[in-house]
Amino acid sequence: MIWMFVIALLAIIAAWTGRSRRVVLALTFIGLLGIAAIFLHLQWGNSGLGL
Amino acid sequence: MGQFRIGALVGLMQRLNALGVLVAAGVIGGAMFFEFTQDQEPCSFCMMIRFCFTGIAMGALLNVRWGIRVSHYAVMLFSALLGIVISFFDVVSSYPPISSWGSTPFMGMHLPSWGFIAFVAAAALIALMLMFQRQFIGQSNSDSAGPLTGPWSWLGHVAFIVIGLVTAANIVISTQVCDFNFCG
Repeated sequence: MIWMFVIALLAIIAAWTGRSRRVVLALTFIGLLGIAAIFLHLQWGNSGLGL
Repeated sequence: MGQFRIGALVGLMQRLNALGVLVAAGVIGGAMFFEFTQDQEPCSFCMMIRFCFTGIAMGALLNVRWGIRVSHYAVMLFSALLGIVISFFDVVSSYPPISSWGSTPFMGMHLPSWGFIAFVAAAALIALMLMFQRQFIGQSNSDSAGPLTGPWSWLGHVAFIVIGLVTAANIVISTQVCDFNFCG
């Protein structure tokens, strides 16, 4: 999880310093997809919720 | 609508986005307040929820820094939808909440429930902002679209600094919740 927040902070710094918009967009999506992956990983096999 | 009024609308939207960043940072800050004052250690789901609020703020920051674009709102909407799913599972998987979370409710509901409501409200607000189509005029060549300028430019800078500090704090908190591992 910590790495996702590190990526988010890097994206914020990149936006603040005016780096490429695409780089900031990519970093943000990588972070969000990472969180989605961690969520699925935690829920996998949770029979109570069917996920 | 004249060029001047379109520019005014874009400026207004950028100010609203900067305000949205501060609201998202405030929500995460509120969760930190409960964490430190009421000894409510965040669960891994709670950290994911905080990240989704950061994602909403990131989309808004993109609008503040590079002008209004549909793709920036897409980031915000994706973050809100992911937050809705995660907070929903956080609420239902911990039911009944009082015994399993060991935390005191705020105004009758626990923080994950408030998170769910906040994400639904955020998704509704983003949908509402998307309805102002004239803010996207000139988007195709808006690489030259600049950041939030004028007398309100300080709001954009404050938004960057506040969400940056909150995210840095979340990095430190994550090391306590998840260590340096994948989490779980």
